[in-house]
Amino acid sequence: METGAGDAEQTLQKRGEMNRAGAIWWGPLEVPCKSVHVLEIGPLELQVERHDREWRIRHREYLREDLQQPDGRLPTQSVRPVRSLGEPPVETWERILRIGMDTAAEPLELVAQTADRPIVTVPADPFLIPPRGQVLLFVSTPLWIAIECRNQRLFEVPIGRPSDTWVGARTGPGQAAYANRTQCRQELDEVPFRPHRALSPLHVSNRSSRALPLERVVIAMPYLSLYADDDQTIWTERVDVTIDDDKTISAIRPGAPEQAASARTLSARRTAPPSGRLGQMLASVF
Amino acid sequence: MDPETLAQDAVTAVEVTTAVAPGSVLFAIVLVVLGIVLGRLAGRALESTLSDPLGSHRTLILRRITAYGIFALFSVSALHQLGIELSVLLGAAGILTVALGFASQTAASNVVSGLFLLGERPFEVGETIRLADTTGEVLSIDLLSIQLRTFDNLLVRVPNESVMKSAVTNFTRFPIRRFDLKLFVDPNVDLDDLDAVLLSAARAPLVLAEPEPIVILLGFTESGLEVQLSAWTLRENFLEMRNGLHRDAVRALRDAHIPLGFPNRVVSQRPSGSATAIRSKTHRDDTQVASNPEVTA
Repeated sequence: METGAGDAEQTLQKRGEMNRAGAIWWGPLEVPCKSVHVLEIGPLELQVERHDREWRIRHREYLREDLQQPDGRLPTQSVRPVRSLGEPPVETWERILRIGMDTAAEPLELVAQTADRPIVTVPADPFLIPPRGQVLLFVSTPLWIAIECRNQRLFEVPIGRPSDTWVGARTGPGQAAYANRTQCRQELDEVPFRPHRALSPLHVSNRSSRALPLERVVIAMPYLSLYADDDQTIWTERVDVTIDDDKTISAIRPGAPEQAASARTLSARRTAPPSGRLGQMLASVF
Repeated sequence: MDPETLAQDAVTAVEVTTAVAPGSVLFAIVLVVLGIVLGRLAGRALESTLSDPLGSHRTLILRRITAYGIFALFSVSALHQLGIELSVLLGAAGILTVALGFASQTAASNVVSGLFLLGERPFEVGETIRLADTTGEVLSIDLLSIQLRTFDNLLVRVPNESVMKSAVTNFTRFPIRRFDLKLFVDPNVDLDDLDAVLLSAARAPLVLAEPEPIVILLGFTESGLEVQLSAWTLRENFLEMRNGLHRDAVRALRDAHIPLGFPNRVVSQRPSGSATAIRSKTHRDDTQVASNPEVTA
């Protein structure tokens, strides 16, 4: 599906108002020899070149001045002939990776993957949950693109590298994470269609006797799997958080969320959460 | 026991040694070799078992103590096989220790300092520290000294006594670090704009979103307004983030048409021949100064 790059209108396009057949960017890569497969998605441009005995993977992230709304760009894919080796590069690419093989006939596959660290999601505006109240929020988080050959991962890159952040004390134990902002949308129809981000249903139940300002939620993305529904929205499992007066309990509800009950598994979680109930609790939200 | 008696006992011990059977000598040698081998094996086994809970520093010390201890036990046993009385040797060693003690006060001080370092643990093997004017990675911590490898690949040995007396900065103890970028800008700039521009420059992947970057106005100087942009990053990304933040901050200021300040000294000379006045101005004032007919330089 070809869309105008940087078109802010499409960023805000509501669910169900567009044809999403061309939004599938994952799956096997069919690249003729001496050709380059170009995938533009969100702020990322990825080129996969096939040569006789070699794959070349280039990628770069659009700068803010290049694109007004890079995060809202829907995926476009095209195949072009490769330039000859002697030609000077047209553009300065951020990264290039060369993969040498006996023969480049082995197909490569693009795989969607969750972030490799937890993601700290902060509401864009202050969000309050009254006592005994509960909300179901739809939180979107950036995805990673992985390239695999014979189920072996060769390469991966985030679609829009999020900023680092830190969870914990400055001088004590803590964990590196990625920063993310959320609009705390509760209506699924209001969530923009962005196939390069994963949508996580986050159920927060405030059982305490005081109003709860939702300041930040840490979602352990490496413990979550990805699912794709019929309209190409990528989902993760639902995460439940229950806040009491003196403790917070959180858990991952296994399987595709009820909003995408018929979704098929797209990729497995990166790592298994610690076993046991306590591990499940620690896995989802800190 | 007077020295003469000790000397006679030592001579007796030597005579006994010379009288022992060749088999006993061989057995004693075997015992010593066995002590060396077993000591090393036991030290390595302890190191592999306890390196996680104790850390590399303490494991290193424990390994050496274990190896030397086992070697000492087997050596004593070997001496016993040779018929040498241990009490005689200990007596001689006592006198020797007193004599050596006076002669090696520095070494003793280093050993004591090494023991304190062991307990205090201000740094461990593999960490990067700054000690006086030397910055480098800690290669070893021994009872007498520590060894550092500087970033230009030089080996620096620092006695433990010096370590105890100096301020030590450990760069790798905590997981995140803050970098303070200090800049001079035109003092006439809109401060809200300046704040927004610098914070936008700090919106980079390697800059931590939390703790948040902050802008601190440090004051007016002869170079202009001094401002500090403080941003946090993961320890392993510090160098890359520092370089990137310099680049992004200068680029953002240039895009926002906020000139950097630098020392600019203007010399004014009055036509009447009065004393030369020297005053400092930022470069933005240069045009105004040049239009002033009183100013000649």
